[in-house]
Amino acid sequence: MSRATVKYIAAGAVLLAAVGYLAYASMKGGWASYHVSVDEFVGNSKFQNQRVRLAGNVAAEGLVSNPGRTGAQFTLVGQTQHMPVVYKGVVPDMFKPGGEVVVEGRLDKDGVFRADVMMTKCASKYESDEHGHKPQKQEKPS
Amino acid sequence: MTANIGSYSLCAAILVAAMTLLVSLAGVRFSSQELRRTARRGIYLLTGLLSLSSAALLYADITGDFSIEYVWEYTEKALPLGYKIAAFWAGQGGSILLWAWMVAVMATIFVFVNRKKDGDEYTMSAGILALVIGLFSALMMLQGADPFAPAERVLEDGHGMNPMLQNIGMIVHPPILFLGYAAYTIPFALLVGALLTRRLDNWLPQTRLWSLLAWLFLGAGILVGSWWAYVELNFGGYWAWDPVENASLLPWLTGTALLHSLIAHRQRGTFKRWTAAMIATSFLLCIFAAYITRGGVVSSVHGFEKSQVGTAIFATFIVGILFSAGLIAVRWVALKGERPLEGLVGRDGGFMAGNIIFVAMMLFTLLGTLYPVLCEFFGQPRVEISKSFYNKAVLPLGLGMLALMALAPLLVYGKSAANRLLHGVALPLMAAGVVVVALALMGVQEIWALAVGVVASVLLVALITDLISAAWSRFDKLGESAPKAVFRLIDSNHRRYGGHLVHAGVALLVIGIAGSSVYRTESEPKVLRPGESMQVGSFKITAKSVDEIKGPNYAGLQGTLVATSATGQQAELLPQVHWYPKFTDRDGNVQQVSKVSIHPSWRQDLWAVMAADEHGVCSFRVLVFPLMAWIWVGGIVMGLGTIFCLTPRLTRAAEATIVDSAPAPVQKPRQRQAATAARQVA
Repeated sequence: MSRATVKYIAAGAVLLAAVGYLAYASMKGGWASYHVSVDEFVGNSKFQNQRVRLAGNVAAEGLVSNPGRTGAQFTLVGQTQHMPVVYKGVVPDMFKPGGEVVVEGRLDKDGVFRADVMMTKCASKYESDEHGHKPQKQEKPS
Repeated sequence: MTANIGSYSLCAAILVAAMTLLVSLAGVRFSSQELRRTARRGIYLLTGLLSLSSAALLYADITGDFSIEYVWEYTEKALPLGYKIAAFWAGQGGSILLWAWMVAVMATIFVFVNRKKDGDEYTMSAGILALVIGLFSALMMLQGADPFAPAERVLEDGHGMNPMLQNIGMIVHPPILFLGYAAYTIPFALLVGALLTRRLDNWLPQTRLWSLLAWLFLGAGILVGSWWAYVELNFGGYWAWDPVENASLLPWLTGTALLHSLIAHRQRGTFKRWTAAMIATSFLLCIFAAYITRGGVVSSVHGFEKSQVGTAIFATFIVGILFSAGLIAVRWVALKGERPLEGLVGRDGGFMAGNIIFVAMMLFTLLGTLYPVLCEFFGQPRVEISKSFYNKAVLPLGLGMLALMALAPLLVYGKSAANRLLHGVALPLMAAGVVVVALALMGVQEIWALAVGVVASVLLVALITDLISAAWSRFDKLGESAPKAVFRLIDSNHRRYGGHLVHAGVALLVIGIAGSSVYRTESEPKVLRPGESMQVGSFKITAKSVDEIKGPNYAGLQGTLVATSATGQQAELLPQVHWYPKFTDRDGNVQQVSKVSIHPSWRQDLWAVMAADEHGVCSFRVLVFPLMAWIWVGGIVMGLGTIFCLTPRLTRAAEATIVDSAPAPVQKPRQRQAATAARQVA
């Protein structure tokens, strides 16, 4: 093996090691957030300190919407469990009692879910949530 | 009637594609000129049939033929003509037809240009092209993908195009993007044709041309798509690491590695395996992009539902990978480079490092995109990948790539490369030092921003010193006036200076990205009644009024905001909210759509949206994006540089020969041909 080839292999190894480290560093802590239902989330210690996406239905009662659609407080309901949610951010158009919704955020010390992202499931045939870009023909689980 | 023309020509196209493939294979097998000519005509006929089918769909869209489900779904009588045309590619079936038609037209050009050439590889390539076009056409036979499926009930007026799509981006972004995807088919066909027939002499120049064009269109398509997201969507930005966005970026990354491998291949006969691998990978990633967009596998703002089309594309993708990997493996020895790589700290090393970085960026993006799918596949709980992963994994690599680009003009081939680099880098580094101090004094102290500032200044200074020293040589030796020297110099080597211009464009783009992300300021949505104001960064935003507005198919509200900068300059922002009576959900609630208002300038963009509740109380959200405009400027400069690479020289070659700081002389073509010919016989 010539000197040049050895140098190339050595340099390549260093570069790949750097890339490997990058992979490791970027995958530690908080790179992926779980997508769970309310029933799976409540009481499960695994999710207490993480950012998660919580899916469920908006309770029929107790919905308080901030003026100008700047946020909302409501109860997120699953089959058996429920979770109080405080959401700060623009409230999407499809948000209403009984509707399906996904919120992203964390559980705070008082057992309230603090969300800063909300996505509604597209109830209409031809439009998805507020981030909708191209029309979707049917409802998709988000 | 129109539907029948469309459908039947599609069916015929599939048959013709199959026959062309068989005829091509036979033409190679039996070395028959007759069969080769038939294969060429097969491609022409295929293109004619797909053109007929496309014309039928276009006609149906423009005239509002609502007996076709597709036309009903995406158009209405009141829709402006531009969007009626764009409705062609608004859905699954039409966009596949567009892609297939584009590949067919490109195949026709390819076959026509090579019609007088004798080699088996061109016939084989024609067969591969027929295969790809036939497969795309066959996709439209699947459920949900037929653009000519009849409507169950023929209604008076169509449903109309989703209001969020009614933007110039819808007219421009998909076609340009598809041109890029389609164009990568030609290098792939050339590669497979050359490898299958073991004729590896002639494939390079055309591969380079098509690869450049594909890269140009794909990059332009991605940029326009980002711009569209920025001016249209509520999240406030131009890139969300959405799976479909990522999918379009993947072939662009390997396409960039391909372009650089092609340079080395042409100049030194090296990086042949890299070239082959990057051609196959880029083409297959275009197919993969189609899968991600259409397969309904990953949740995305772009996605269609899960369908047979997705499965079919996925199957094609897997077969494509196995076939390409197998073919390259079998021809591994024939793809050996003509000389060993030298000069680790020179151009060879630079290309190698660059290729590794681009492939790593592609792999990280791919991992992030597929991880949720893999999790589900293995029965793990579903996850979503956060932006921070991409930022941590891909951005450092991007910075590394920027650093390599900065050194590019100073990298030469050969053993003395390290010395040349050390010589050349002194001045740029000093300039970078000055820039860092200046930036820090101006208040820029974030590490990423400073890093970008350093690397960008090294890049720009290296480019300028390279240009000046080369022009000086001309000035000195030929006695030309300075402007003439520079002009003649640049004209003597479009590839080199076009490439430098592209690199400069990337530097501007990265400066824009750094400024708009590191120093982005955001407000929470806040209720502002007329007269009230809020502070966003150094701007005071005051609400002036909210007025009712009306459009052809919507009613709405418009907010008037005045943004006052720290220096007292004022700008107006006019965000709107529209209600479209035609787009309601099952409960009859009318969809509310926000219209973004942007005030651009060279220093920063101001971006605003509004929302209104049922009582008419309005809230506003304002973002400040420093240096955002430089992203678009950088992209345009990249495009201009690429076009310059593609253009021929304007002055005569004889006047332009001069020794400048260009790389070491190229091996003479005849020697290389003799060498490869000898290898083929062996």
